[in-house]
Amino acid sequence: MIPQSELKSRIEDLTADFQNQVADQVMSPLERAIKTWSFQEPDRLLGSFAVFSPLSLGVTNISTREYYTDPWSFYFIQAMSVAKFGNETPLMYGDPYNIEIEAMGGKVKFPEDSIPHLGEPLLKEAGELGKLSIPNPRSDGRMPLMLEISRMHKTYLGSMVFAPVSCSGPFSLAVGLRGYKQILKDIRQDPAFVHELLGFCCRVVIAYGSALRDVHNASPTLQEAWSCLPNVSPKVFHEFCLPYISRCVEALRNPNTGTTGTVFHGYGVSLAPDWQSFLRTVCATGLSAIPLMEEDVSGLRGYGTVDVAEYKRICAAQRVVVMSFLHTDTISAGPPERIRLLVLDMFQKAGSGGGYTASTTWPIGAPVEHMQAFIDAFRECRYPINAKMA
Amino acid sequence: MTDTPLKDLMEAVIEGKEELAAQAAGEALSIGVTAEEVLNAISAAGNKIGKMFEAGDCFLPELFAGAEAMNAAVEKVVPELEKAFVQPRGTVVIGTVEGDVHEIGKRIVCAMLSGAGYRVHDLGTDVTAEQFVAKVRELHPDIVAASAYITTTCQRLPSIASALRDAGLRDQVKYLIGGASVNNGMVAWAGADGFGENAAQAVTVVRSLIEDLKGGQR
Repeated sequence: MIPQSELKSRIEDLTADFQNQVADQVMSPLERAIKTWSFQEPDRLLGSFAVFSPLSLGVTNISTREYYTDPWSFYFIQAMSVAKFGNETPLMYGDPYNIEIEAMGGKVKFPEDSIPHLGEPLLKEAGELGKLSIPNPRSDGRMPLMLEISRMHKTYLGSMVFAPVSCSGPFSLAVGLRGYKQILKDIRQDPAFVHELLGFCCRVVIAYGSALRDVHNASPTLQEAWSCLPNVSPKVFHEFCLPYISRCVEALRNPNTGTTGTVFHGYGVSLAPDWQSFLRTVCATGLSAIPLMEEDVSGLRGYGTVDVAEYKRICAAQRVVVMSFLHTDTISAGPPERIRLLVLDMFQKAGSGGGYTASTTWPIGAPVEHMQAFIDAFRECRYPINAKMA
Repeated sequence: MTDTPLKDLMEAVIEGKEELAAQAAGEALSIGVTAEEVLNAISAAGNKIGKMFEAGDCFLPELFAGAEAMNAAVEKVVPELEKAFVQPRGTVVIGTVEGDVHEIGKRIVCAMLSGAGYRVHDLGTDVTAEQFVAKVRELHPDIVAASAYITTTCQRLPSIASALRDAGLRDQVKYLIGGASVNNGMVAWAGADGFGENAAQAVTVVRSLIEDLKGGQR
């Protein structure tokens, strides 16, 4: 384990290095993000990539376990992704689906070389719901660690780079508490209990999310992958997901700026029988940004295809930013030119007028030149859009 | 003999009604429908749900409910199959790789394979290569199927093929891989014989791999 003093020193060096880089740029990534979220065109496309393990960046002397349990190790890796590799939106979270459940007493396993995962569902019997209490974000589980990481960001890179905080969405939290198979059974056999559970989950999300928001001065991203199609059907989504997501989005609105957070439940839109209508409904939850996954664009893994330009139009009409995400398979497989063309093509279709970003995840073992192709590509996407660029 | 109980059975499976599926399977057997015919009906219903899922006409909740109904119906049939000495179409040892606790897709695959007449031994999640090998030694299955959900854990897939090879068992089984972080391009890298993109496809690939194995074309 690298001593805290050394990590602190390295983070300070990375911050100074990045300050010099920003001095040579037309805009800082933070200014680029503000323009993008205001539906104005920045100097160029805002690009980012998620890092879920130090191994992705080739760092071998910080274990995955240390990364998830030590704020200095975590922030060092995120700062490195910014200053050394050009990430413009580092994440101030790693395993958001585990945090609330761990803080309520759930067991999380921390393997040395893999991301943390939950043990058995905490809520084995429906009747046990009454025994659960709302966790205290300042003392329970790793919630204080997440707040600390957010404070560190303010101290170091916060004036130059926006870095979202995150908590679980209400439906995904309910799935984490009961298990996916069981919640589907509950929906079939005891829908009243599921509504009661979701009400409780909203209270947990709002308590933790408010603490994150107050430290960070920005609304948290709600992680809601479990509420995506095909994990739920449109019918289940409308009854058990939509109203609770809306409740949390509104409750976590930033009182200073009036803005809401992102809801990460974009994939699977292409599977809806009427995807345009479904997307409008999702946007109406009041969220500020939504992903557009490559699966839904290219029909990967059995997904359908949506028209990227139309997707953007629908979202922009409701002032919802579109965050496109290249699939990890694409980054792993390459080749670099294909990655470049995908980024450029989607930017041409959806970039106009701002309100659009490019993202991916850096998979462990992916060739550096593939990630570099992604980074070079979003840097190549300049405003105003040149129709002949791609 | 009437087709009605089998029709009821198929409808119950497709609609994901566990109790009705078990009841219809029991009724079919009680009026003299053979266990094999009941199994074929369960399998046909499973295929239909799989096709509906692939076509976007149903979603995972319906697929899961259908899988549960298939399981409930298969449980009624198994004792009859054993009595009638009906051989399973093959034996599959399946598990999620070491370090990975995701099992939703795997459970659906298990249910659909059972419904299609295969004997399935589910080793659960977080299964080491050594555990796969030990089970292969014990059961002599036709197929070893490994699932990996995340990019970190799919790195374990080649170690299963290596462990089978080191144990001298690789030529006796076919190795199938699947899961959210796995794709067809990984088959050679993982030392596998096939890839199932989803549960319905896994059943088709298992059928084809077993034919291949029994045809001695390895």
